[in-house]
Amino acid sequence: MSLRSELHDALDEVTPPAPALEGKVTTFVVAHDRRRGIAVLGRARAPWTNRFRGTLTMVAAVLVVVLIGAIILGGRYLRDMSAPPATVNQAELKSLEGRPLNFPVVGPGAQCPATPIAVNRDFGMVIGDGPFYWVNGDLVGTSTWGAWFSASFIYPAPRDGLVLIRAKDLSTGQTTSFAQYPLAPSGVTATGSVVGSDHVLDRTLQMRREAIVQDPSHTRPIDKKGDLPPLTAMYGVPKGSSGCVAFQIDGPGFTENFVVDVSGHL
Amino acid sequence: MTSRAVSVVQPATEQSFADLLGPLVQPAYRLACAMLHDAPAAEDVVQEASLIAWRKVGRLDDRSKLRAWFFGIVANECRNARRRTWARAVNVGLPNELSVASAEDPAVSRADLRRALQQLSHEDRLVVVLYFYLDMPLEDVAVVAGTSFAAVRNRLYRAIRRMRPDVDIEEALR
Repeated sequence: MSLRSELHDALDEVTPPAPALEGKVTTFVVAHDRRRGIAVLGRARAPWTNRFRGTLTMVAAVLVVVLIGAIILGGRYLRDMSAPPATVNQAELKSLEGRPLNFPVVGPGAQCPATPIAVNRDFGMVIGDGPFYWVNGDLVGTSTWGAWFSASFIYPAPRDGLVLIRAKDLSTGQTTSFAQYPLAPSGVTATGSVVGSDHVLDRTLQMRREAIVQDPSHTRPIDKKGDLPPLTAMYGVPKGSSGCVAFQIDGPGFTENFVVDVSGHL
Repeated sequence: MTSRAVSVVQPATEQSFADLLGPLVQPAYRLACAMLHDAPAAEDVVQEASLIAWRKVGRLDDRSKLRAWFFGIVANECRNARRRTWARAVNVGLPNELSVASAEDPAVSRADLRRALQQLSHEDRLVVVLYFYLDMPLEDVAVVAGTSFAAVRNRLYRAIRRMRPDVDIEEALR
């Protein structure tokens, strides 16, 4: 069977027929377009404004320039936020960094001791015994250096204190690098010493030794609905790695260890 | 005053929309399903993309490129939808290690192929879906992806290598 046929079969399974879709879309577009039309009609300019058009255009142009400047400055500010937060309690961080690492040892050619996936009543499939759960992971991008993955966590315990995330590539024995997840807001901050940089997703990422989840980033809602910021870490696996990565999560009153196997993506 | 405002706005009618974008709704839905693997989300994407396309279609100089242009909007909306899903961080995906059933089982094989497709970057996945699933020629795929023919071909090679390392590329491209 050709790859084309296989893909057709595989994707047809996730494409249920939607015979009414065209009608639904048409109704949706027509309704929204009419609403827009009414709005535009309501905005029709009175003739007396015509004489001010030149001035207003100039004012608008100045506002646009100011806005662009604000966006650039805001972008720099956000980029600066990727740096280790200045408010990290250094004593607390040192204390967590002082906890011994309990990574398994994998002999040459041995199978990766990936932690089994468990089913949690509240969060579905998870890795980890809690309170810090791994709930999702994906390949984010690849580079000449290696591959970058995302790891989404849930930390439902509203307890105070810093959480430290460290990881090790069990095949190479090297410390796994973290970078700030660039695609969406995240309560996880890549921190620790800068060990290099890599270019992926059209961005230059700083590679750091560890990541943290800091109060109140995981306890302070980011919107009026009370949603907490997603906890998405980004970690990199260098070329040549087998993709067997051990994580240690140290937080207030707990230490968790688990191993993920991302060899299928390398 | 009123006549001036009306001339600016050309509200959609069911007939005008059906004539222009109607025939593209089903292929767009197939594209969105293949990109997202989530039929309800795909329907939402097609709706949003259709509205965007309808509002911007006046700026499209070459109507012969309508299909590729519209698919480009759909693809962009798929990317946004996927990012929104990520931002919620509640979408529990199936890690690779879950594939424990026999690979001989066709259902498992199809699921594995879908998973391999999902692991591709958005750009690579789009090229694969357009070329293999919507059977678009590479020239049109390049227009949708907003890149060159050579770049699209490279992406396709790379994606096939990732999904099926053992397959003959030229054979697969047929």
